[in-house]
Amino acid sequence: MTETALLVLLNLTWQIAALALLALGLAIVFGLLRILNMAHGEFVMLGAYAHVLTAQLGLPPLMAVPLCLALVGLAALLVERLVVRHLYDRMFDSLLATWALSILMREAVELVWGRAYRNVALPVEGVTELGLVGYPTYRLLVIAAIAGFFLVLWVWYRRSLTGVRLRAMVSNPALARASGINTARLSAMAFVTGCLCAGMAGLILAPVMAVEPNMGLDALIRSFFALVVGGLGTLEGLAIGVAVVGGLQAGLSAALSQTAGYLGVLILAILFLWRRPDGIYRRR
Amino acid sequence: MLSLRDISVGYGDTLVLRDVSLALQPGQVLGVIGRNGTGKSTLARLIGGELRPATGQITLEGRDIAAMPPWVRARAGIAVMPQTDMVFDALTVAENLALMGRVDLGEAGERFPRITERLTQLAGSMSGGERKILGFVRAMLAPARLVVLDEPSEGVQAENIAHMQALVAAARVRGVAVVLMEQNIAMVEALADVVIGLDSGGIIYHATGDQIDRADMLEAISL
Ligand SMILES: Nc1ncnc2c1ncn2[C@@H]1O[C@H](COP(=O)(O)OP(=O)(O)O)[C@@H](O)[C@H]1O
Ligand SMILES: [Mg+2]
Repeated sequence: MTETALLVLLNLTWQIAALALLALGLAIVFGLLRILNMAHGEFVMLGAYAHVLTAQLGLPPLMAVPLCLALVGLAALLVERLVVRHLYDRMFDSLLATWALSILMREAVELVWGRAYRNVALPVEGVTELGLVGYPTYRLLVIAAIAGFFLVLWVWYRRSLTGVRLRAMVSNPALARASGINTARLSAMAFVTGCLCAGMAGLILAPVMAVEPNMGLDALIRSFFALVVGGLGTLEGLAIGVAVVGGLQAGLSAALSQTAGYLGVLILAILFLWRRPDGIYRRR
Repeated sequence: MLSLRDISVGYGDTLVLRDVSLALQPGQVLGVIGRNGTGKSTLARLIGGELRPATGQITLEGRDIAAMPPWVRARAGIAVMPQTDMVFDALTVAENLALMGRVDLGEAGERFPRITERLTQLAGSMSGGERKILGFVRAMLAPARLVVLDEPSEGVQAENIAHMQALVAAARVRGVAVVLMEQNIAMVEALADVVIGLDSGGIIYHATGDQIDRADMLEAISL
């Protein structure tokens, strides 16, 4: 019994950590720029395909990391310059534009790599014994990395001068500019960083996901639900949102079925959009 | 140091100011008076770079700055305290000041102990008058040669207005030029070397030095 409980707990932690990683990029872009990046999932997808590209080029698997950063970073930079830059403060236009972009990216990837599902091998094989139970080492490593990364990110956002500048820009963009802050550059940086987080999420989670050109939609929807429940646009809200959504989905899936898990999350998200659009964590 | 020549500026197709010219020397205080809606804040936004002139020239130390974005102007030495939203509500008082590159408040800290007492408090949780004071202190601490203050005394207690005046006077001695938009005629009278009155899109009152007269100014803003 205790073995099962521990396993459920580990699975829950894994689900929550994976969802946090998946949703981070969307939260960054929405929280800092008020842009709902409908192509978020496609940046996740692009990150996952970095594995495929690495294999094609005959490079060692670890080269997927710089390749992912370069590929996704370049794409994000281009998208910011050509599209997003002109649509700040135009929530609906940016939504439409990034939606169109998501279709474009799906088609492009399909053109290059085809529709087939890709298998990505676990970079770290094996199981780590945790006393009562064993758990996949890769998952444990990813959980630790995500927890560490979120902590660093939170401290940096609260304490660093760039963090203060970002919060100043969100709070009062005109005064930020009047205080010598180049908000155009800061916004571009925020967008690219958000996309890079999405790409890295795709890269890291590829071994446990079905990698194919349409995988982005599921990533977008799950990230969006987490943001809606937690409160759009703060790290604290994101943490709460992924805990509730990830927890609910994992719990229902384990107790009933996968479908029940998805259904539960969907109902919860709709309830929040309807009754409490600010989410659990309200911005101060 | 700052010069406007035949400036017309407004929003979209509506011009608020037409053919306005003025010049300001280092260490001078320019008082800009006028009723609500006469274009004082529009002038502040023009100097800060938020608004671009429809026609005319604006130069800072001989350099045309019409196309210079606000953040570059800030780095070029122009500090603006807007009339509304003059602080970052979501930031603490200390963070508001840190963005000006200053940790040490100097004389401002002694004159406004409330600011120093509340460094860890969110600016958005302060009263209207306190936020005005923080916005004022921010602008005065900026490493600027030109400071634009858009109605800093609005909603501020008399004793703190006196402290504001003392800090502006001290900046003037350091050679800082100040543009002071105000409806508080006493404050303008106490500080200004040059006064302009705005109405109907133009300058309807102009006085320098000894010509500056309280009754004339009151008349100019009550037309
Ligand atoms: N953002 C804006 N868009 C359009 N019109 C504006 C805007 N801000 C101010 N105005 C108009 O410009 C005129 C001057 O306003 P303003 O410069 O704020 O005057 P003041 O600061 O002297 O009260 C007013 O008629 C006002 O309605
Ligand atoms: Mg005004």
